[in-house]
Amino acid sequence: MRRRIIKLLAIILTIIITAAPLNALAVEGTMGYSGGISVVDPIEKSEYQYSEMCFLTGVPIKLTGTLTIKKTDKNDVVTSTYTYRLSNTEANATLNRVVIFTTTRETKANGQITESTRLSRLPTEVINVGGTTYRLIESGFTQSMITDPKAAINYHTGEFSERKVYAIGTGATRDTVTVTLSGRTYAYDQYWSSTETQRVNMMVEADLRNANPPVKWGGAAEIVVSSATLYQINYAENEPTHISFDGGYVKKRWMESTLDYTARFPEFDKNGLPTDVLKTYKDTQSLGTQMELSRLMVPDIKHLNGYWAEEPISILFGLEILPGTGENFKVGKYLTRREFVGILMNALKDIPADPDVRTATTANSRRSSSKNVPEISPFKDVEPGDLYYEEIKKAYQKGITSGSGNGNFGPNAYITNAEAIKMIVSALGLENLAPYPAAATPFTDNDIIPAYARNAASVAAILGIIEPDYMGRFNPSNRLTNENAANLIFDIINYMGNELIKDYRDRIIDF
Amino acid sequence: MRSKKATILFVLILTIVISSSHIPGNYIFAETYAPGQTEEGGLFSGVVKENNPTLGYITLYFEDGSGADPNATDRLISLRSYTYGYDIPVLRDGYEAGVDDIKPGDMAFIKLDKDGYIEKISVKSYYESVYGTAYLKGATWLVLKKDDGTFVSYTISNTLPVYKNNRPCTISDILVGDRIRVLVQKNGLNVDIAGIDIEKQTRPVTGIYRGKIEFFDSINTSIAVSGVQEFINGRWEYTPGIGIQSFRYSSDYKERPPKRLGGTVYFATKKAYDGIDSIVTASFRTTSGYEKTTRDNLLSMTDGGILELEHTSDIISFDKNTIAVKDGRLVDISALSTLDPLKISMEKSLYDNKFIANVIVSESVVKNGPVIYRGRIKNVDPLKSITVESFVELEGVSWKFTNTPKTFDIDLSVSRLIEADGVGNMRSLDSAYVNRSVYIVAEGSKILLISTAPYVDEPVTGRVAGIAADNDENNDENGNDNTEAVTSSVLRLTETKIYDNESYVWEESPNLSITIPFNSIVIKNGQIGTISLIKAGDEIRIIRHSQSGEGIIILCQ
Repeated sequence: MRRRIIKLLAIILTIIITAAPLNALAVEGTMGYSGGISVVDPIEKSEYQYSEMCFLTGVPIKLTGTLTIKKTDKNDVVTSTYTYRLSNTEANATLNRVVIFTTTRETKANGQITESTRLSRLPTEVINVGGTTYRLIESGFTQSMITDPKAAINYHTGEFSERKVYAIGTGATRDTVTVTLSGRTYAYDQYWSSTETQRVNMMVEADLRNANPPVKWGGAAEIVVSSATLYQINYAENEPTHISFDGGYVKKRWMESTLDYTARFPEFDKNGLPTDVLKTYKDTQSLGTQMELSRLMVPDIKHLNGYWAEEPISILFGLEILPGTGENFKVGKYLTRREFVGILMNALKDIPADPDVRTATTANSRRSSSKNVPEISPFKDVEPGDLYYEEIKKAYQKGITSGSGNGNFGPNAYITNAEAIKMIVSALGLENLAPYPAAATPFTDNDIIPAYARNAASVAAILGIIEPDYMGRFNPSNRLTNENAANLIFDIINYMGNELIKDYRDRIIDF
Repeated sequence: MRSKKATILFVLILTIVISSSHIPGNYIFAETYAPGQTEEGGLFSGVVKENNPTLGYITLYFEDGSGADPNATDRLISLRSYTYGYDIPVLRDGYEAGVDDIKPGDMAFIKLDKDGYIEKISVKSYYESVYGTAYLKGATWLVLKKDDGTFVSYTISNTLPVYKNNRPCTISDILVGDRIRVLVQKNGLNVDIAGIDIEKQTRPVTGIYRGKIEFFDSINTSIAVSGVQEFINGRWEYTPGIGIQSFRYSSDYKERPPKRLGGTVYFATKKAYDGIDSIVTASFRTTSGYEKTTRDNLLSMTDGGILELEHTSDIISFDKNTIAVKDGRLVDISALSTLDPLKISMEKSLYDNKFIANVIVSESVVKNGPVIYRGRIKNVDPLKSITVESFVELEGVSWKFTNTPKTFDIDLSVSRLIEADGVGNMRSLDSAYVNRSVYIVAEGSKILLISTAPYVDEPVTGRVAGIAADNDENNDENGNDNTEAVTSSVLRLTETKIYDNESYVWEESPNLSITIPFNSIVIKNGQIGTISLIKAGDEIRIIRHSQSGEGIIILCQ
C-alpha cells in the first residue's frame, strides 16, 4: 500500500515537473554570454548549433559546434547549465566549456521582473589551439536583467560582466591570458518575432612571462551578436486554373543569428612576438535554421477579389485572426468594441515560453478545492459565456482596456479610431515614446482627439501604425469599419514581425 | 454675531483667493499643476508649443496636449504663456542648457517665482530616430529615402552635429547612398534636428552582376542565374562559379521580378546582416544582342533621360532600371555630378539608335596614395626615425633620384616592417640595419611600411586574369599560432605591356605570370595591403625584378 502511495506521489510529482505551465522567462539566453551565436538544433532537444570567435592567440579563430542548455526553475531560482563543444579543424583548435549559472528572479510591485545571475561554481574550460592549451584558472561572472512584461511584448534589457584568466600550456606555467568581457543585452519576446542582441566589448591581455624577453600584449574586440526568430507571409499563386481556390499564403518561420565583430590586435612578427601595429579584423558570420513552412487557410472572400484591402483581409482570415471563413465579411460594417477586442487579442497571441526551462514546483500538501469558483466578469455588462468574453477578460487583465467607465465595457458600442489606437498602444506598452500623458499629436485635428488617446495617437504615428488622412487628420471619433480594422491589425502584425527587429538588431549593428 | 462670522469667513476666503492667484508676467493664467503636484503652487507642465528667447516667453500646450487648433491660440497665449528673464537655470535631458536649447515638442516642467516669472525650467526632448538612405544632398538640404520607401527633406546647416562611429564628423562626410539616422523632433511646422549619425561601417555594393535568368524562387526569395558575369573596372568578367548560381534577395529589397522571366538580369549585391551577399536592386532586360562598355566623364544629364558624355557622341539614355553606383554606394542616377568619371555598360535599343545604360559606376573619390622611396639606411634612431643617405622616389613607373639624405619618422602604431621571411618588428629596427637598402612607403615623413625587398625597375601593366598561391610557398614553420603565413602568390596578367626603359615606350607582351613575394608592396586606391586586395579584372602596374621577374611593387587604381 505504502509503495503504491509513493509510486503515485512520484507520478504526480513527475507530472507536476513536466507539465506545469512555464513562466515566460526573461531572455532565453540561447547565445550564452561569450559573444557567440546560436540557432536551435532541429533534432536534438535543448541543443543549439553554436559559433563564437576565439581571440586568445591574438588572431581571431572561428569556433563552431554545439551548445547544450539545461535549465531548472525552482521557485524563481533558475539553474542553467551551458555545455559548449566547439572546434575549428583548419586552425587545429578545440574548446570544451561547462558553465553553471544561478539566476534569481524577483517580481516587483509594478510587475517588472529583475534577474540576477552569478556562477554556481568555477566553470571548466579548456581551449587548444595548434597544440597550445589554454586552461581556465580563474573566472568571475555577473549579470543583471530587467523584464518589463507588457500585454503583447516582453521587453528586456540587461548587462553582464565576465573576467576569465587562462593559463597557457600544461603543467606549472606562468603565462596567462586574461579576457575581460562586458556586454549589454537588448531583447524582446513576442509571438510574431523575437530578438536578442548583445553588444559585447572584449579585452584580451596576454602576460607571457616565460617568453624571452617576457612580453605583454593586449587587444580588443567589439562584438555584436543577435539572434532572432522571424515570421514572413508570402503569397503563392496557383498555376492550374481549374482549382477550387485562388492562390494562398504561406507562413514562413525561421531563426537566424548574426555575429558581427571588429577586433584590433597587435600584428605578430615572424618570431611570434607582438609588434606595435594594430591589425584590424572585421567579419560577419551567421547561423540559420531551415525555414518551416505552413499554409494558411484560403478564405472564401471571392466577393472581395481585387478589392484594395483584399490582401490583409485574406491573411487575417488565413491566420484565423478574423473569425469565420470570410464569405460574410462586409468591409464597410462597423465593428463593436467586443468584436475589435476579440480580433485584437487573436492577433496579439501569447508570448512563447522558454523551451529550455523545466519548472519544478513544490507539491502542495493541501488539496485545492475541487469546487468550481464562480466566474466573475471584470465588467458589469459582459457576462461569462458572452461572445469574446475570454478575450475581453484577458484584455482587461493585461491592461489593454479598462472599459468605458462605471465598471462597464460597452461591448456593443461601435469602436472609434481613438479607442482602438489607445488599446493597441497599451498592448505594445510604448506610451513612453511621446510625452505622457500630454502629447501633442502631429494630426491637424489634434484638439478633438480625446485626451486619453492623444498620447497613443502620437505614438502610433511615430511607429508608422497609423497615417493621417489626406487632410492630415486622425479622425478620432470615426467608427472603425471591418476594412479599417483589418488594415490596422495587419499593420500591427507587420510592425511586430518586421519593424521591431530593425530597432533591436539592424540599427544596433549599423550605428 | 452671525453676520460677524460671515464677514470673517468672507474676508478669509477673499484672502485665500487673492493670495493664491498670481499675475505671471503680463499674462493672467489659470492655476494648474504638473501631474502629481496638487499642493504646491506655481508648478506647471506641458509640451512646448513655442519658445521665444528674444522676447523671453515660452508657450505650452494645455495639460492634455490640446491647443494646436488656431482658434485656441489666444486662449493658449493667455493661459499657457510664461515669461522668463536672463540666466534662468535650464535643464534639458538632465544636462544644463540655455533657454535657446528648449525646442518645440519638448516636455517642459516650469516653476514660477512669487512674481509669476519663470524661476527654473526643466525639459525632456522627444527626438524620433528617422532611418533611411541619403538620397540627394545640397548645401542646405538633405533628402532622405526612409526605410518605408517614402522621402523626406530636411534643412541642414554646417553646424549640425554629424557623427560616424560615435566620433564627430561633418556634413560633407555624408555621401549620397550612405545609410543615416536623423534625430528629429517635430511639432507642428517646427522641425528640430539634433544630429545625424552615419552608419558605423559603410556597407558598400559588393558586386554588380548580370546573367541569364533561370528562375525566381519565391519561397527562398532568390534568383537562379546562369553565365554570371561581374562588372569589374568597367568590363564584364566571368565569375569563378560555373553553371547556375543562386543569389538571395535582401530582406529590405521588396521588388519582385516579373511573373514571366526571360532575358538578362542585372543586379547589385550588398552584404546583409548575416554577412551574406544579397541582391539590393535588380533590373530585368530583354537584350538586343548589341552591347558595349565605355569609360567617359559625365557632362550633363538631360530631362529626357539622356547622358551627355565628354568623349562619346553616342546617345546614351537611362531609365528607372539603370543601376547607378557611386563610390561604392547604390544611388539614384541624379546623384551623379558633372565630370564624374563613369564606367557604363549599355546596349543598343531594339527600336532606335539610342543606347540604354544598364549599369553606371562612378568612382569620384580618388585617394592619393602614399609615396614609395628607396634608399640606403644611413642611420637608425631606434623607435624614432631612420635616415637614408640618398633616395629614389617612384614617379609613375620611373625612379627619380635625389642625392640628399632624408629622415623618415617611425610611428610605432602604423609603421610596419616586412622582410623576406616574414613580418619584422619595428622595435628591433636598430643599427644592424644600417647600410641596408630598403623601400620606404611614407605619408609625408611618416613611415607606413619598410620592405627589404630587392631593387626593381621593370614596369609591367596588365589586367589581372587570376591569382593563385605559389606552389613553392615558404610556409611558416615556427609553430606560432599568431604569425602570418609567409606565402607567395602568382598573378596571371592579360593585355600585358612591358615598359622599355631604353626607348621609353610600352611594348605589347604575351600574357604573363608574375610571382609576388611576401615582402612585396601592394597599394590599391591609396591603401597599403597585401595581395588579397587585388581582384581578377583589376588593372594594375607592377614594377618587377629584371632578373628574377618577381613583382615587388603592385599599384592598382
